[in-house]
Amino acid sequence: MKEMAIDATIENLDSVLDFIGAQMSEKNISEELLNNIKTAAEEIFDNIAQYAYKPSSGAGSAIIRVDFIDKDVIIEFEDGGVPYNPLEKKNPDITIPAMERSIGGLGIFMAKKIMDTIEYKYKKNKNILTMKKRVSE
Amino acid sequence: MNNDNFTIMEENIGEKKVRLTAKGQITATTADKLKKKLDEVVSKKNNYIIINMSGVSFLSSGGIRVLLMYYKIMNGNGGSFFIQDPSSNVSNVLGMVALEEMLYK
Repeated sequence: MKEMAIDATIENLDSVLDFIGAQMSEKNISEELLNNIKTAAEEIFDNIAQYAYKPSSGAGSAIIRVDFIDKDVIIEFEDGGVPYNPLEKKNPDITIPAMERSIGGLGIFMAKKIMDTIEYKYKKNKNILTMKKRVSE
Repeated sequence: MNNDNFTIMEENIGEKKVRLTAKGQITATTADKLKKKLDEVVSKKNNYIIINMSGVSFLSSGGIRVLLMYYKIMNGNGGSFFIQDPSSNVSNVLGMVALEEMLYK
């Protein structure tokens, strides 16, 4: 398992995606699948950067772990911010025309669609979000 | 992935008509650059915007939010807003959220 600890600010998004991409590059994963996994990871990190830490408490940190178990990649995000479960966000209605859509909520919906499973828990004052995706046959 | 990985070019293609050519990766950070460009183009009273996305290798949900926002602004004002020639990643993510209607046909 590889681990990265980083300040949870949106400026660090590229470093997080690069870190995840670097772990995946050792595996034989298609570009499309890698891009999809990055899309999901971006949404989760973006949520932490936006909501986990209040301005009064200053920037906090996040830990990102990438592991490969059997045929799956497992990516875990941990932060010590306020309890926040992004999976509770209501799914957008994607059957209605674009003009009637609301702007928000698409990201977490996409992450749920892309990954095989996403689980959230709040444990020992930490938000822990674990997502899994099969990456090999 | 960094900011240098995203560029957007503007060209006039007629009376109040603009084509934007986006290249690179549209992440939560670079989506802001796209938004600024669209703001600028909309504020010049253009009523037709087409964005060529053949060179966009990664489109995030943040990027889709920006595109949807301006699609709604333009169409709400009687204008037009299209995505032209999407890359496979752009097609894939727009399909995921059923927003293919933004594509130029």
